[in-house]
Amino acid sequence: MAISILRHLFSFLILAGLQILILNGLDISSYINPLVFILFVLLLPVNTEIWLCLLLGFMSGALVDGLANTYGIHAFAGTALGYFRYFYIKYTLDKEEIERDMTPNIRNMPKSWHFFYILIATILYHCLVFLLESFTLVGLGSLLLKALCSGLVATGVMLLIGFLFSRKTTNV
Amino acid sequence: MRNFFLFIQRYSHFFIFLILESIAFYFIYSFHSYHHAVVLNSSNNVNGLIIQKRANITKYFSLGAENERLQLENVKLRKQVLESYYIDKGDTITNTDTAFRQKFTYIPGNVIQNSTDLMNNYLTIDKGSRHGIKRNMGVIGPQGIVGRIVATSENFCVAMSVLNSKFVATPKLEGNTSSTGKLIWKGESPYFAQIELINKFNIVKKGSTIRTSNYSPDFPENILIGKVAEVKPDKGGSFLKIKVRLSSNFTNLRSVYIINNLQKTELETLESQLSNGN
Repeated sequence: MAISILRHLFSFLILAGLQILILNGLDISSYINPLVFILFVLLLPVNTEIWLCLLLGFMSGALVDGLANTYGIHAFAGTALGYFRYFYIKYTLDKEEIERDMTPNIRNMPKSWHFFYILIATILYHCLVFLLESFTLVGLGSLLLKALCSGLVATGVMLLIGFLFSRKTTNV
Repeated sequence: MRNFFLFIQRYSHFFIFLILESIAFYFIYSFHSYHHAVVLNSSNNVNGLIIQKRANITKYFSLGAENERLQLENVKLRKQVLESYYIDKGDTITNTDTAFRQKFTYIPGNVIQNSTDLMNNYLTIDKGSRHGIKRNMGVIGPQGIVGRIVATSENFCVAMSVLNSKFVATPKLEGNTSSTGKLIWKGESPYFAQIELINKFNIVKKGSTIRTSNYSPDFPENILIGKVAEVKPDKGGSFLKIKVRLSSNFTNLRSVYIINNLQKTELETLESQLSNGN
């Protein structure tokens, strides 16, 4: 248990570092602004208590907010992501699978399930962040296009990270 | 009563969700209503240290280009110093001591964090209240206008750049000394901004330069803003829609100067007298 907590903490530090120090500094295009640190919230074990999911989503978002000058947007979206994750897992996995309490990474789960889980959550997260960021519905089309482009790139990066670094975990 | 507690227990996750979302929304709301970054921003010392470490590494990648920019600016400034001029009339006596009095001083700083792809972009600069930086001071770079300070801590400060939906400056068009509009950014490209409230009767040529006017106490007059890229009449309105190509390149900004107006306290006390007096 303690090792699992340490492992998640470590992965969060790496992901937040990647986000703040590298990805936020890249100027590829104004349409591509991938937010990858949410992989931390997405990869919490499937049976994590809901309050913990919400709290970790909020805190990781607030941390990135503080470093990237986004005044609470990520904290808001991170909490929403924690809630979304809870329902998505509850309605797409069997009770047995949830009780085995694994991290939903690419090795533990069926590939298609993992892919859609990451894709849907990421695109929703990007939409929410960009909407809150502009705080208006003017220019909704280009905003959604931006969210879609960034979301797809972020999904790609997250799948790659998962493919390279995740391991099959036997019961923790 | 018991049912009430059961209800709360059963839906406790929903209440936690609501509480956290309202805290986050309070942060967002307070930002949008108080015109400056209130709670979560990178002028905080710990956060500032982290991003300064990153900036210390990444600044080496652009040293060449940065040197060139600063050199160009030095050339321009050297042209203006008194030693570059000679006295044309033999009988004029120049006494620089009393004829010129300093109005602006400049604090040099380095940008350690910068974004250009959001709707509200901010820069973090490695100078803070310890170096005499206060809110609302103007920020310029070697190529022109950059932004305005919104938050300071002891060692760092955060400035909103021109690329921020809340940034406003008063520009001055070349040739039209009387008409001043409003420089704003609407979030499409980091290279272009808009000027509004310029009357249709003015003749604005494509390619003419735009500089800061003397209306704002935070910027000296004649700081470069950019060049007119496109002029269109506003349909049904009485103003022109002017698109400006910004002279500063915000994607690779490093050295900046923060402007301290020595007369600002005097101006502010004068203006507060006015608002208190009536």
